[in-house]
Parts: sequence; C-alpha cells; structure tokens
Amino acid sequence: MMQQQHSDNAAKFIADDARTNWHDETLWFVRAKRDKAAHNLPEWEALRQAASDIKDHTLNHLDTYLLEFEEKAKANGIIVHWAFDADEHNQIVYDIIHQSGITKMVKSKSMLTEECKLNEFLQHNGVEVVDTDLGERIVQFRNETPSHIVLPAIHLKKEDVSATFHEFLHTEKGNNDPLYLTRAARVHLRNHFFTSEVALTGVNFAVAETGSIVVCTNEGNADLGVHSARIHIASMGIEKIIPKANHLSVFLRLLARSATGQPVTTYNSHFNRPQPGKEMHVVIVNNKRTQQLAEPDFKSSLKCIRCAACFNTCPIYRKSGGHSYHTTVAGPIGSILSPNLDKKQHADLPFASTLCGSCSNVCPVKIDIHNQLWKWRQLLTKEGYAPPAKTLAMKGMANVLGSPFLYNLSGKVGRWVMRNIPFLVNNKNWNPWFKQRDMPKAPEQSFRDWYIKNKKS
Amino acid sequence: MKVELFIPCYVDQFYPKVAIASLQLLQSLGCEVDFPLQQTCCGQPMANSGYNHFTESCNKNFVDNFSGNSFIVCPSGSCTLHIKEHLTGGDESKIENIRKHVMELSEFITDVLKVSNINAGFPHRVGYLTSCHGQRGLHLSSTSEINGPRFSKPEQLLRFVKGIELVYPQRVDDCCGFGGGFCVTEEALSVKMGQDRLKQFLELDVEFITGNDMSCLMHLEGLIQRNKYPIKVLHIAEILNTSLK
Amino acid sequence: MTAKDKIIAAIRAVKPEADPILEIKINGLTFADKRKQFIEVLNSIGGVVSIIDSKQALEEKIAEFISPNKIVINGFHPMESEYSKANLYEVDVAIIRGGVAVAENGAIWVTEKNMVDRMLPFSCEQLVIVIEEKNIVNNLHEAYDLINITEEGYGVFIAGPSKTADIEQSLVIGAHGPVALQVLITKDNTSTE
Repeated sequence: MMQQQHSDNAAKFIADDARTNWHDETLWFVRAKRDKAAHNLPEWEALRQAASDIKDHTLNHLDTYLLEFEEKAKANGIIVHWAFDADEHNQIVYDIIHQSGITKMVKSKSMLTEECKLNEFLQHNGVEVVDTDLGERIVQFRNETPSHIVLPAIHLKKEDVSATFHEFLHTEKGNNDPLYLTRAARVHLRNHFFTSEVALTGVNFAVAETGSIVVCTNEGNADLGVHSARIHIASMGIEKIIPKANHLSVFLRLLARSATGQPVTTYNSHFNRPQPGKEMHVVIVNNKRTQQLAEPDFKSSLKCIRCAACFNTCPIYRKSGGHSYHTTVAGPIGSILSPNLDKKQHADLPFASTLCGSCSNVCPVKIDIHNQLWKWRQLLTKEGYAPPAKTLAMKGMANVLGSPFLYNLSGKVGRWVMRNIPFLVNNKNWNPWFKQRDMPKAPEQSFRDWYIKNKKS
Repeated sequence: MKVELFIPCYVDQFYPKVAIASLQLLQSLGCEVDFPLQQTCCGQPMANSGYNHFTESCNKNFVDNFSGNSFIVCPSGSCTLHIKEHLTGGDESKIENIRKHVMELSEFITDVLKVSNINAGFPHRVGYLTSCHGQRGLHLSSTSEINGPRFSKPEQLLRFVKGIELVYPQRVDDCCGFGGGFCVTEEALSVKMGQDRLKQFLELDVEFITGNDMSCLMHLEGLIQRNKYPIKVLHIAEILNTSLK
Repeated sequence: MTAKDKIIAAIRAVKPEADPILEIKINGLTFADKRKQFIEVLNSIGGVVSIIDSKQALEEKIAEFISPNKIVINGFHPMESEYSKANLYEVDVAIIRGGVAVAENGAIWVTEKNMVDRMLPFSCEQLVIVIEEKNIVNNLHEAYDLINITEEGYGVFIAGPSKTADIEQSLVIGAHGPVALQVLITKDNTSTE
C-alpha cells in the first residue's frame, strides 16, 4: 500500500536504535552549525527575504530569463540544448559523448542527473560514468543512491567506507582513518580526471544577464574534471536561473551557511566561455517543472537552491534517513517536489511529517514547505491516492465529530468501554497507539458534563 | 471581559481537568466565561490527514456555536491555529470575525488581558515542552531557527508562578512526534521522537513537563506510563491555576 | 515543436501579470578591520596567511617555495614555466595573483588570466595566492559590485584549501584540489608588477 511505504522504511531504520541516534545526532550537528552561521549575520532574515523575492520574481518571468540566458550563452560560444523530459536529457548527453567517440565521463554532483537516472542510461549504452564527489563515489561503489543531496554518504559510518574502499581501491583492511581514505580517493580519482575527455557538472546558478553558470564545491572535483576534459556538459533545471550577476552575492551568502554552516564553499566557479579549443554545453531541462509551475500552491517549491537545510532540521529525516523516502531528493523539500514527478509513487511522502514547520524556518528562500505538505495531502486524497479504508474511517469520524449528539454519545460510550472493557482498546494488534504507549485515562465525566453540573450563572 | 471558551475535543473527553483549570484561570483573571455547549471538534484530525473536504459539518458547528464577537480562548495552539487558517464555509464576515478573535490561552492572557501578575504557586522543577503549531504558527515564542529577539508568552506567564524552577531541554523546539494522525500512521517514528524528547527531559531531572498543547503532552504521557518514567505532565493552565498557598 | 518551444510555451501558459524588476539592497556585514577578519576566517577554514611588507619581502617569500626537487609554477613569471596537461597534475606549488578578497568568508576572486591555466589552481598540491590589502572588501555584495564576472572566460572565488567532510562528517583538508592554501597579503607600497 503506497502510503505505508515511508512508514515501513522508517520503522526498519529505527529498529537499529543506536544507529538511528548516531544518524540523528550527526544531522543535528549540521543543523547546529547552520544556526551558528545564521545567528552571526544580523542581516540573515533580510537575506532570506531578498533571495525569496528574487526567486519569486524569476519564476514569474522564467521564459524571459531563460531566453536571455540562452542568447548570452550562445554569444559566448556555449552550445545550449533544451530537454523536455529526463529521457531527452539523457539522450542529449549521450549523443554529445558518443559523437566524439568517448566512452568515459567524470561527473560532479548533480541531483538533476540522479532524477533523470543518467548514470544508468549512459552505462547501459556503453559509457562509463565516474562520480567524482567523494560521497557520491562511495555510494556509487556500493551501488546505492545518495541519501542526502549535499552529504551523499551521511548514512554511512567510516567503517562502511573503509570496507568499500578496501574492496574497490585496495586500501588497508580495517583502516578507518578519514584522512587516509580521502587521500586514497584523491589518487584514484586524479587518474580518472586526467584520462577523461568529457566532464559533466550540475549548475547551482545560471545567470541570465551574462549567460554564465556557477558551480559550488568544496572538493574541487567539478573544476578538475572540467578543466582536464575537452568537453564540459552542464545540466540544469529550468528553475536554476537568476536574473543578474550581483544576485549571486545574495545566494552565495546563504547557500553554504544553510547547507553546512560554512561562510562559503571552497570553490565558486563562474563558467562564462569554453577554453579555446574546447566545447561547453548547457542542457536546460524541464522534467515536469513547468507542471509544478502551473500549480499556484506548489509553484514556489521551485525556488529551492538544494541546500538541504530542511533535511538537517527535520526530525523525520534525521530519525529515518534519506532512503526511507524512496525518491531522488528526500526530506521535506523532496516531499513537495516528488509527488509532482509521480503522484502514485510518492503519495506517502507528504504524510511523513508532523507539520512542525521547522523546515520552512530554515529555508533560505522561504518556501512554505510545511504548508505545501498540508496542501499535497488534500490534493492526493481528493485524487484518490488514499487507502479506501482510511477514507471510510475519516468519513465516519467527520460524521461523529460534526454532530454534537453523536460526538457526546460516542465520547461517553468510548470512555465507558475504556474503563470497563479495556482489552478492547488496549490491544497492540489493532490499536497502533497502544503498541508502545498507554492510552490516556478515561474520566467518568467529560468537561461538558462537569460544566453543566457546576455551571455558575 | 466576556470570553467564549473553546475546548479541544480530546481535552473535553480525556483531560477535563485542563479545561476546568482554563475556565477557572480565566475567571480568576476577571473574565466572564461562556462555554458554548454544542461545540464538538475543530476538524483538524480530518483536515491534517488530507480530508479537509470532510470538515464541513465541524466547520458549520463551530460557526454556529461561537459568536465571533468576543474572544474565543482555547487551551491549545494547534486547534487555535487550525481555526485561524482553515475555518471556512458560510457567512464570510462572521468567519473573519472568528479568525480575528480566536486565541490560544497564553497569548490571550499576555496580549489581551495584559496581566502583570498571576497569583499562583508551584514550587517544583518543571521542563517546558514547546509545541510546534503554537510556536511556529501562532508565534507564541521565538524559534531556534529564526535570527531574531528571544521571547516567550508562556514563559512570561510561568515566571509569575512562585517557586517554579523552569528549565528547557537542549534541543529547545525539536518536535515531540505527536503530529495528529502521524502518531499512528508513522507509529515507530512518533514513538522514537517522543522517547528522544523524554530522554532530554529526564536528563534535566524535572518533576513535571508542561506545555500549551495537551495533545503533545498526552503522547508523552502515554510513553511515560508505559515505561514508568519518574515524571508527570501538566498543561500550563493547570500550573497557572494552582493558587498561592 | 522543439523541446525549447514546448518548455517556453508551458511557461508562458501560466505566466502571471508582470511584476516590476526588484531592487535588492542588503546592508551587508562590515568590519572595523577587514584584513583582520579576512585572516581570521581564512585561518578557520584551513588557510595560512602571511603579510608582505615590501617588494623584496615578496620576492623572498616566493623564493621560499622554489626548490630543485619541486615543480613550481610561478604565475608572476609564467613564461619561465613550460607546462602541459600532464605537468599540471604534478605541480607541487602554484603561485598566482588574486583580485578582490572578501573578509566575511575568506574568499579570493581569481580570473583566468592570472591562473596560467584554468586547471592550475586545482591540480597543484599547494596553492599560493598573492593579493593586495587594498583589495580586501567586507562582504560578497561589495565584491560583486567591483568585479565583472564575464571579464574573462572563467573566474572563481577560492576560499581556502580543498576539503571534504563526506566520511562521517570528519573534516579532511585536501580533497581533490590543493591540500594547502597560502595567501600572501601585500601592502600598498608593494609593487607586484
């Protein structure tokens, strides 16, 4: 049953209590670093508002800015492609590689390409893909998907990484030292950088005014890949566009602080023109983003700059892990983006939340994530993605709770049953509350009963 | 001042003492309190589960029971927020009036009654549980996420209570895991979140946990009883209503 | 209809009434001593800083990096270095010129013409960037007001040595880019011709 998927996955994750605590504390630590960075900038809230305003405005003029970007980029010698969906994107990327007779590509982090399942497509068609972000390379070896969009291997302990590197890189068995393991990856990936003719990157920001793309990394892998290669392919979602170059100051001041608590990522690379003798391609991808754009309630989810601050603060994410969401982009933002991609597959995600609202408060572009989670619940239910049993139960509940007579009667009866035939209610098999919690005591009088009896007037 | 008392359905049924305390507290602060007898439920249980379109009868019943001309005071942040954000159907101007007048108990006392003292005594070590909807939805207190001045309306009131030792858990406003339907649809997560929250309070060695929402406290109490933790829950109204001896 | 046409049409189908271009003005954080802040932040992110008082001091400092068993590319005298792509991966030290430097985050704007090759600031083992004290600004807003990002084909804000925390959140300095960054801050009277 679709709506149980996240809850089943979460229950499995939580069964390992020690590991859940470790995962929870690790992510909370990242949240705490964000807090420190945010509270050190007096203008933090003004920055969030500015970023939100820029993105709101951009979404209202997306066609203008995309066309301006294309015009400027082309004038600078960049080849611009458009892909309506994931399949078209993958084909375009493949064609660029294949036409040049190349069979290996290095790739820095791009959640868009994860969404499009590019790696599988290329591999299936004879192109080796080497993910060069350290976290992504680790999960690639393990044949897993990233569990976090900024910290792909956050679900793994150093022992796990050590075992994986021992298997694939022949590092010392049992050597868990992060420095040792990172150096091993450095050597291994430098070989790949050096021998790759094509490099693919994501795009953090595409500047309409200048036709430039900006890529932010800490590791330097995006640049090493691109500058070693002859061909640079940059994949971007249509929503990555921003109007002006100086808007970058707003976003770059917010991005790393929100993501990891750093003032800025180590490298913020502005690609304007390909190096002489080399090729640069940008693939502008829709993949249902225009569909989300058409929904007034959900349109602003496209403002997302993929910082994952919402992941780090979300108690559900922290205590159930990214893989519990069974989707490319997990966490709160993923729960309002994924249903747009596939309602049936992801109908459970908006319910994987207590609507606490912490996500909306940490979002650097002020997406009202928790409100959109509520709205998706309504839409998915109305469109028939709820289990019939649930709908029946809710209809019954609504009838009772909406009628003073039925409400007072069932309250009285219910409490009587709880006091006199407790085993009917105190049952772990069919009362999920009772599995690990006691029921509240059932008083003889409701407040209303007491009030009528004791009314002073 | 005339006020209308809006009591959450689960408080009416399972925690009448919280409603009694709210009533008596408001009376002791000089209010003339009316409790519309035919009120039932605000509709939040259905709405948050995706069935907002089933809440017509709850909405109608709410509008029928409350005039909208006096303040509607409710000892629950989430029920108050739900009415403010989702009450609909029928006379739009009456509904607008209701929205303007519906208030959670603490914020009513601080912002409308503007009391400078509450004659209460509770010489115990008490941990405060921040409930999310009241905090982030109604702005009953500042949040750990937003860069802004620190304030708390519930704390303002608790500071009047003689002898109380008020403490906060390390993760001040991390959700307790009740979440309405979530408490049963994601039972494992709900319990885990509640247990983690309780661990933080147990570390503080408090006798009581208090807060503004009995739903959160009911969820923690369920875990406390099952695990026999040496700790009790009390709604803030109950503490504010303990008269000074 | 091409993909481009379809996408633009879909966007236009839901385009609301135009709203005016926004004016964004942020009062960015400023510092009484920009240089001090820059150094503090850079140190905290793994960078090492030296203050250079004179032209001679600069030449002496640069000379410290050069030794016979090291491959060094000195961006100030690039013609002296022969290099190929293979050599760039074997460079021990690269010394290059930086432009605007940002106090709030320790970042330095480096443009292509000062890199010798786009790859050099990333492939060398240790990177040395020489900046002028007068080019230190308070924050990124001031930086972007000063630079023209498309002046050259490529430019990058570099803040510290490369790093990662992808293995159990343990910070490791030196990921794929340089394992060390040293910044030489020259004072106004130092000619860096």
